Amino acid sequence: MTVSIDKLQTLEGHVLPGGRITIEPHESFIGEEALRAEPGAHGGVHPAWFVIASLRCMGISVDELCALAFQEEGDVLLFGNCRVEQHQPLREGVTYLASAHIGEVSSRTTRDGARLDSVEVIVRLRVQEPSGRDVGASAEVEARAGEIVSTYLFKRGSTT
Amino acid sequence: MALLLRDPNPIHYDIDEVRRLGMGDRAINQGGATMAYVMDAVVSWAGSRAHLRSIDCSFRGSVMAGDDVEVGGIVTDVRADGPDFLVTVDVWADVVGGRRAIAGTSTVVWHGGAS
Repeated sequence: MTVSIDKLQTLEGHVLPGGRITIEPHESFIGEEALRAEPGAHGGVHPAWFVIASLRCMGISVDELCALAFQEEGDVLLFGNCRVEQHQPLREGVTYLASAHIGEVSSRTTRDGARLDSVEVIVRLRVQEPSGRDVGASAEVEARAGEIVSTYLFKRGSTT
Repeated sequence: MALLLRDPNPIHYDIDEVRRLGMGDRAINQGGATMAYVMDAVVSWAGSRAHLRSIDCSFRGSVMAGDDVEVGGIVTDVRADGPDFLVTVDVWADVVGGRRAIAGTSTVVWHGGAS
């Protein structure tokens, strides 16, 4: 039985474990090859790494996110929207710390009558100091790398 | 891209699953990969990846294996931001001969010149 909307909305504000990512040069190269993009200058990586980092640094897997959103057999996961704010370009070899939480959760009915639930995941990236310590509050602004807001859609009961 | 994204969704590689879900008979491109094509167009036009301030993409339709994708954009606003300009661009990605896959907006910064 599909989860109630009220129960689904209890996810709003739920803090995810977050994580960290260091973009290795070979991964950057593979990404640029896959996207047929020109290599970046001075160790800067493709901005698509914000999207990649948001998936890898939620602190839970996509499968675990689906479970959190009460996905059932026949529900289809779709990527609905993605907003990236870049405070500074991501770079190879730099470690970024990620905090993550669930944002807005909502539901609507599609034209074909299906229930479409949306779950927003907000990931914020900041530079980790080379010492491994998190930066202090005074350096918080300089350390900000970017924010990614991804909206995952769950089309309920698409197959029987 | 599925490996880099750590994305296990079978619609990206399992044709039987794509068929079972009634989503066609070809693997579906990751939305993030299609968004990356749009990012590429924006930063190429803006001059560098560092010029990107933001991009907001709505995924309207699927891009499937074998599709050609055309990306585009049109400037909708230019405003001074201190010595720089903030340029807003409506962006899109269309499957050639078919549907719109992405519609969105992006803001880039152009350095210098504002007075």
